[in-house]
Parts: sequence; structure tokens; C-alpha cells
Amino acid sequence: MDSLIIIAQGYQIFLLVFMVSYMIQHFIFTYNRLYGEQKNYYHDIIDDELPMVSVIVPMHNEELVARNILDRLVRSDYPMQQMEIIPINDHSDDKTQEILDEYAQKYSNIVPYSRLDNEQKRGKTESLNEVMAFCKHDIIVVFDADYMPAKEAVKSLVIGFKDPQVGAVMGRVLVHNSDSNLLTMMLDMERSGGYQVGQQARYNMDLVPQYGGTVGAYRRSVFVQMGSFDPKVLAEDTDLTFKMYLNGWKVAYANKVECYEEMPEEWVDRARQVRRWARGHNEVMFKHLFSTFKSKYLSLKAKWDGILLLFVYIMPFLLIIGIANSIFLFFIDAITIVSSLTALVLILAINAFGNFAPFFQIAIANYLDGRKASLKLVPMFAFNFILYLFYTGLGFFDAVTDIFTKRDIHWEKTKRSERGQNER
Amino acid sequence: MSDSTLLTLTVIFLFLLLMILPMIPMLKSIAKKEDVNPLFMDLDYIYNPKFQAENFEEALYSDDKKFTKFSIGKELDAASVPSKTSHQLLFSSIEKVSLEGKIGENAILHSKEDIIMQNDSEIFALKSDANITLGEKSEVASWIDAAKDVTIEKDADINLVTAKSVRLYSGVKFKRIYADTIGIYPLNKGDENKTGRDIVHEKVHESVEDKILYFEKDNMIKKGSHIHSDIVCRGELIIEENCQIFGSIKTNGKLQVGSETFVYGNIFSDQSITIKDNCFIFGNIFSHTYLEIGQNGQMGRYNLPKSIIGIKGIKIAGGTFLHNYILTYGEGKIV
Repeated sequence: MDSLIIIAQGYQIFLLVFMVSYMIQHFIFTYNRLYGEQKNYYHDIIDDELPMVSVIVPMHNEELVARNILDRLVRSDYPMQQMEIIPINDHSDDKTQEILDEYAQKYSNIVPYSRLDNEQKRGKTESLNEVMAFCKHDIIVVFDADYMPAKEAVKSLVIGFKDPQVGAVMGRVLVHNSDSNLLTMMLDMERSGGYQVGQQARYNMDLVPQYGGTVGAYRRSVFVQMGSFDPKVLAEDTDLTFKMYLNGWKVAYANKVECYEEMPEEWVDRARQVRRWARGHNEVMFKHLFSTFKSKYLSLKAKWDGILLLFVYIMPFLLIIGIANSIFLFFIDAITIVSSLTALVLILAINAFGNFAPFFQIAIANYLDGRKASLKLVPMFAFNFILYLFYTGLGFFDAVTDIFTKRDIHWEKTKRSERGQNER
Repeated sequence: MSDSTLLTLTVIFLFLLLMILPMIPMLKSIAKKEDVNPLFMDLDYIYNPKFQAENFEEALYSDDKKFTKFSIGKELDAASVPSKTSHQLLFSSIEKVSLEGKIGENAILHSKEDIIMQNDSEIFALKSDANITLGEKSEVASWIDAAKDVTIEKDADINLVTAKSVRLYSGVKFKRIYADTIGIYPLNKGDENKTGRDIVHEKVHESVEDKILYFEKDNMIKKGSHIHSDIVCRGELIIEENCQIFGSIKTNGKLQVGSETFVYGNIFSDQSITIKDNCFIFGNIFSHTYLEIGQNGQMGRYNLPKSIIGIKGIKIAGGTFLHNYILTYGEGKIV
């Protein structure tokens, strides 16, 4: 029993150290955005000598949004003769293929790629790997089908590759349907927190800004050399991020290169999405954790950030265990691990992690975006946190099951509304 | 009801009240649908240096009441400016105009012909369908746009200039300049009529090997070296004089490019960049901090314009030609 108590007490201390690390990270990022030195992306560069690019748009049953993304891409300010657009029809059984054929007839630089063979494994990872094998150009730009890029987006993303150290570039996602309901409004605020503060602060401080899988670009030749996308990993974007850093490349974050995204409008769809992200992210954590510790290319502070980033979707699971553990310690009267004053500080730290610090980040991000009235919604994130706690916990179990069973990973598409066809 | 029950109920009530208090503005905000519209995205003001001039032109020919308009002849001076007005003042002329004195922070002068701004004069913005000349110590607070050439004399203070060509003299302070050719005067003898000096070596990108020369720490590239690859240095890098680099350079520390060096690619640094005299840089130059360019260099080419950016500041010495965009968010200065 004594050794069990020591393990339980040790776990509480381990958990508190991690929570305090996240709390400090949230505060550092937020203060960096408010008062720190800001690092500009390369969007200010005006250069007519642009490289040839392949823009890839993976699609599965996207008849509601396919026209919208293709229209936006052909209206882009990137020279059309230097850009091939490859929409991938991944086993759609709606009118996606008809729409792609129609656009291919109309625009010579739209080259649809069809994956209709039932023997082929479905999914974004497989689609991207197949297309990377034959697309013509070295710079790959990726948009999801429901995204609505600004006309300058492709050029701005691509200009980042003038820097020979940049292996991937990530733009910023704005929520298109923020006015639909409370969920989409909160997701918009959450997105601001992630991009306006999180990603930009990471870029400012030379940490680990992430490639997000869409509204982003990467060097094809470099990534193919690294073994392309791993079909066993659901979060191909986080996988690419870590592969880039672990091989000495950098991910540049372009805060002003914006693109609209359609967010789930139902809580159940959001919960599934969070679970899927948690699953994929944890797969990447298992894959890259030790290489991140050992990396010769990452500075100490970048390693710290990278490890916290890898652990972010395991924390809710660890927190659930921690709550159960503290109840156990309470009933066996062993909760007093350290002096009561220190315990009080630690409890406050938990509250700061669970409540205040991330909300502070979200609030400041929205303030920087010029949104003031929406700040009143911040208390609602306390309830959101409980939902995330549960579904990211499930995502962690999915990832662990994937490792032990080596089962195939199936991509689940997020439900679209019909709003994608409406212009902003 | 016993005292203890009452106390318990009071505590529960207070707890719920404290929980509900921050929710009241939240619920009101949800009901009113405040701030729910998607964030607006538009990058035109960044990518188009002529954004302000084009907006002005649009407003000029529309019927809106943005401006209080005055037609003028050959002269504009401080005496012709009304003392109190909340509108933006627009002075238009179809003749060559001479501007003298402090015209005010909300006045724009537009002429179909040349504009000559006398020494120590001030105005908000200038637009000409021909040439513009700014006298010594003159100041244009917002923007200058000319269809042909702009000459900016010693110690003038400008913000944004767009033109066919721009001549800058010592002591000029600037933020953004966009022109086919930007010449820093005085030039060397014999260079007066050129838009850029002859290029000794033509583009040789065919020979660039598909690899990156990677330096983990501070490094130095010896005098007279020829390097056929991109260079990435995680520390400071010094390139000694007379080198030829057939690729792009990126440093995480400071970068110094020695005199008489040719770089047939882009230059990026997370820290400052110093480019010594007589260098030719084929590509873009981007420093996250300060950029210093020595005498008689050439950045970009007339037919292949590039950007020269020093986020915190730029200093450029005389005799240098730049094609075609210079930008700083700090202070740009001709030395």
C-alpha cells in the first residue's frame, strides 16, 4: 500500500509540473503578443520571379463546396501559367467528379485526379502521397475543399520559400460561419487564440509553429526524401511539422495570409473532430517524442515547446487520471504531499491551467483581432473545456489502440453545411 | 428550517450567484449576436504599394464629399490654406506648381504637370501626372505618387513614394519606395545616365547544385570563394570580399557581405545584414532587424525587380541602384 501511495503522490507532482509548464507557456505566448518583439513573415516581399506551384485540394463528396474553392483559386493573383491545380476526387459518390470535369474543360491548369478504385485505401494521407508522386512542381500548396482563400493567399504562402531554411509555410484560418450559432462563434474565438497568439508567438520566439495541413505549403522534394506522409498517422500535418524540424528545416507562420474555413455547426460533429485530432496528434507524439528530445537541430526552448506541443492532447487524459488519483489520496488521507501553503499554490496552478491561462490567451487574441464584444463569451470556455476533456481522452485511447492493434486508419470527414457556396 | 439548513442554502445560493454573475454579459451577448461576423480579410494595402494613390484617384473622380476642393494656378503657399477645416483639402492644378511653406497635415496637392516643393515645406500627400521634386528638409507625411520621376533632395522626410524612378540624396528619411529604379545620389562619374550599372555576370542558376551548405555555428567564407549552392547558417556569417555565391543565403545570426561580392540569389537574416561597397545582389534582401548597404552597389536588376527589406531600419550609401521596392517599418535613411 505504501508504494502505491508513493506512486500516486509522485503522479500528482508530475501532473502539476506539466500543468504549470502549460500555464507558463500560455502566459509567455500571450505576453509575447502583447509586448514582445514581433517577427514578420515574408508577405512584404514583392517579387515577380515566382516558382511553379502545384495546388492540391483533396475532396470526398464535396459537391456543396467544390465550385467555391476552384473559383477562388482561378481568381487568385498567382500567374495561372505557373500554377497547376489538382483537385483529388477521393471516392466521392456525389456530383464532385462532374464538377471537376466541368472545371477541367474550362481551365487548362485544373488537372483533376480521380481515386475511384475500391481497392485503393481512402483518405487525405493516401491521396496526397499519390499525387505527390506525379505532380509537376516542387512547391505544394494544400487547401481543404471547404476553405475559401483570399486572392493573395497562394502568392503569399509561396513567397516564404525564397528563404532556403523554410521547409513549410502555414497561413491563418478564419472561421467563415462564425455567425451561425454559439458553437461556431466560440470556435472562431478559439481559432484566434491558436493562430493570432499561439502560432505567431511561436514564430516570434523561434519555437515550433505548426504546419496545419491546409492553408499551407511545403517543399515536395524535401518531404518526399523524408518518406512522405505516414499512412499510419491520422494527423499528417503534425507529422510533417515534426519531420521538418527534426531534419533541420523551419516552418514559417504567415499570420496575415488568411483563409476562411467552415466550422462544424453541431456539437456532436465538433466532438468527433476533437476526438480525431486527439487520436492523430497522440500517434505523432508516440512517433516523434524521443527524436524531439534528441534533436540536434532544435534549441532547448524549441524542444520544450515541441514536447509540450506533442503532449497537448494527452493532458486531458492525464488530468482525468489526476482527478481520480486525488480522490484516492483524499480518502486514504495522503493528499498532503507537501506543506499546505505549497498545496494551495499548486491548486491555484491547476485552476490557472484549466481555466484562466488559455482563456486569457483567447481573450487577448480576440482583442488583437479588434473584437471586443465577443470577449463576454470567454466564461463559456469553461464548459467547452469539459467537452474537450472527455473527447480528447477518448482520442488518446484510440491512438493507444492503433499502436497495439496496428489497425487501419480511416479518415472521417467533417460534416459540411451548404454555406460554403455563399460568398463573403 | 434549521439554522444549518439555512446556512447551507445561503452558501449554495451565493455559490450559484457567483457562478452566474460572469454569465450575465455572456448570455446578453449571445442573445444580441454581438461581434459574430467573420473577420474581414484583405491584403491589398500590403501588396499594392500604390494602394493609397489608387484609392485617392478613385475618390477624386467620384462624387463623394471626402475632399474640400480648390483649383489653383502655378503656386501654392501656406497663405492659401483655410485656417479651420475638418475635411481633407485637395488643391488641383493643370499647370506646373511650386509649393512653398507648411501647407498642413490634411492637404493633398494634385497636378497634371510637375510639382516642385521648395525647401522646408510640408504637406500631407502629393500626386503628379509628371515629375515631382522635393526641396531640402521638406516633408510629405503620407504618400507621393508620380507618373514619371521623383527627386528628393537632402534631408527631406518622406513616408511612401511610388514613381517610375526615384532619386534620393543624402540625409533623406523614408519608409517605403516603389519604382523601376531607385538611385542613391551622388553617383560615380559616368553613371549619371544609367538606370543601373552593367551586370558583369549573367544569370547562372543552371549551375546551382541541388544541395544546401549548412553551417551549425558562426562561420566565415574566405575571400574570393565561389559557392554553388544555397547557404544556411545557424549563427553569424561573414562573407569576405570578392566572393561569388550562386544561390540564396539564410542566417539566423548577423550577416556581413564583403565588398565586390556577387550573390545570385536571395539574402535572408533573422538578425542584421551589412552589405559592403560595390556588391551586386541578384535577389531579394530581407532582414528581420537592420539592413545596411554600402556604396556603389546594385540590388535587384532593372528587368527583374526585387524587394529590399529591413524591418527595423535601412541605411543606404551613395552610388547605389535598387530595383524596385524598399521597405522598412523603422527608419530608412540615405547616408
